[in-house]
Amino acid sequence: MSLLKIENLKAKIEGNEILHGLNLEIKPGEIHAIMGPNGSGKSTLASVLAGKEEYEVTDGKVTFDGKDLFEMSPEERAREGMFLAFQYPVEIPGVSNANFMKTAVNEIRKHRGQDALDAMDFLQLMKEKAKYVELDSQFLTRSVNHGFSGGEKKRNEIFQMAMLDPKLAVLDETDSGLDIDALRIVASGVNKLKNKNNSFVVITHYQRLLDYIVPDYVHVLYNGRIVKSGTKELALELEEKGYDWIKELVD
Amino acid sequence: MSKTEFINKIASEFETLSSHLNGQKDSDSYGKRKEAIAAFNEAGLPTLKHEHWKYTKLSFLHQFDFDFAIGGNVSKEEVEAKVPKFDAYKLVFVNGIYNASLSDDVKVKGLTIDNLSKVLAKKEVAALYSQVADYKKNPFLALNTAMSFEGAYVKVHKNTVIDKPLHVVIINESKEKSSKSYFRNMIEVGENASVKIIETNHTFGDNAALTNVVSEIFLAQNAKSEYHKLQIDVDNSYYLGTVQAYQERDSHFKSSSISLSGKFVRNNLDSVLNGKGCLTDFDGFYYAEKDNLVDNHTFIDHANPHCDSNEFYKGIMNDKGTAVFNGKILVRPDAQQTNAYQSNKNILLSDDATINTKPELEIYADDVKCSHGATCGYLDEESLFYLKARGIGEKEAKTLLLNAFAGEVFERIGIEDLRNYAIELAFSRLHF
Repeated sequence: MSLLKIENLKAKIEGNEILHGLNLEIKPGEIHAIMGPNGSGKSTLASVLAGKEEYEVTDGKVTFDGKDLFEMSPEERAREGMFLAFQYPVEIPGVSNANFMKTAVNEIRKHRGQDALDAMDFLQLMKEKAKYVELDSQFLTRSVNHGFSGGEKKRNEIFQMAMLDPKLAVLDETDSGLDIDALRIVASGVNKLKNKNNSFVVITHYQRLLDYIVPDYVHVLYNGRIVKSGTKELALELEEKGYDWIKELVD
Repeated sequence: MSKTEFINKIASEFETLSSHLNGQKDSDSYGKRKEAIAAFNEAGLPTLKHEHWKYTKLSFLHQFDFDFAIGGNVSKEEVEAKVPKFDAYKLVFVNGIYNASLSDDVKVKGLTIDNLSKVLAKKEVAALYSQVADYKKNPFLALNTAMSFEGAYVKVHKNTVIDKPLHVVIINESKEKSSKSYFRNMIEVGENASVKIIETNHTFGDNAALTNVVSEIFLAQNAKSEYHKLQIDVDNSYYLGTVQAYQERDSHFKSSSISLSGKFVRNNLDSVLNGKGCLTDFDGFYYAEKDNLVDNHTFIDHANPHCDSNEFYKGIMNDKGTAVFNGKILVRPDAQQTNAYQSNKNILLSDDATINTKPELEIYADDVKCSHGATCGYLDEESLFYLKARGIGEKEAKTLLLNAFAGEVFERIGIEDLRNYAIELAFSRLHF
């Protein structure tokens, strides 16, 4: 059974249709990379999956773990195991990372019928997961992303992913703006979390991330549709030849 | 009761008070009372046409009888139950009168605490009394000057640092009938001395209660003083307050005004920077829900060079709540090298809530840094979505964001148990 099934998805923002009938199927344990030139609809896809209100879905169907995704609010999607690593994580002064994650983890546990974690267990979990992305424990008391460097913000996204243990994680250009060290840390965090039951959608501009997070499939998104799919060799080909040959192929 | 009746009632109450002041009628303080009541009568009650009362309706003054109350019936148990406990020396005043049995017996070296009415006969106290709190500026300050009887007199002697804050508990008892009472505090902080004061006000009783509190604070050279107001009163409470500070060279005055409930709250907070090197911090948080009103009027008078002032106010308005912020900063021609910073941020939670915010900067010196900013808006949608995308529900997300917004003010409160109390109480109000 597929974990995520997108059929003929059409979506628009401010009256402009960005996705023109997108199809994609992801099974548990798979890593899919989505590449494509600027403006092809990559971030729109991520936002629609997470449930951002500005985007209007005009047609198509998305099934997540057997449920109709569009019947769920953003928080319900997250509780069901959908995770979006934001391209531009928001700064929230005054809310500590610890308080933020405690609230989120306990809401998700409640949804799963589990008891809330007590303070000691929670702290233990936080410290353990913070190590995944080499964040020191001081960061836990700092406000969410407030005054964080670009790299710290992205590591925080992966840390949150580790805390929430989603079924499907969508990484929206998590590699953009990262130096090679930060990229390595982020990728190794993802690899530690990967198992045979969870899946990843890695949205990226650059092939270099895929040296660290090795995808099972690579898709090219262009003009709101997936126009070509292949394996990791396709990413290398795109790196070498750019997107013009794809555009020519389609247009 | 009409406006005229209200004013006539005040006049007759002043007569009654005067008749009780036998033997004091030749004193300076009685002279001051007479001047003050004359100033009140001349000014009359402010209307919305007055610049500093433009958004603050006072119609409740005519709505209730508000009998002039001196003393009231309050038990120790009630105080225990209703007044927050801080690690502080407690001084309790009920309807304008000091209550020794409810107060702590404070014996601290270098600290003189007395009832203001007792020490006002002393020349040096009388000379300071009402010197900077100019009753011509504000009719309710004039009323307080004319009608107030007792209050805390605090004198911190040179080089003395008081170990614990003083908690001035203002109680307005309105069990039998609606009441109005006046409280008057005076604080003198000597050279290099330091003291922290917490003021809380409480209405005991179901009838409307009008509380008028004035505190004058004199900071000598290099003195430090904090004055914190925690306003957590009931729906039948009406509060008019003035804090007037007067800072000598190198002194530091810090104030916070935390208003979480009460039908009507008007805080006037002024400081005169009367020497070089002064520092003034005004912080405030207000939450106006139901049809409550909170009004903060601040005034920082940069009269001398090399002084800094920081003003940081935040507010949240819900239901039909109204808030007013008016922050005046005056930089006089001599006050070169002034740094004055002012910020007022507001969040509206409903379409019927109102905020009126007005920075008022008058700058007559040329070598200064002054900045101000006022914002008002709704909760940040991006932040809300970010929290939801992590599984946090709408209500929980709102609660987190609003408490974080308010928390930036609370974290500036330097008294730990007061800070924690404010945080917890705000959380119970800002909980969705």
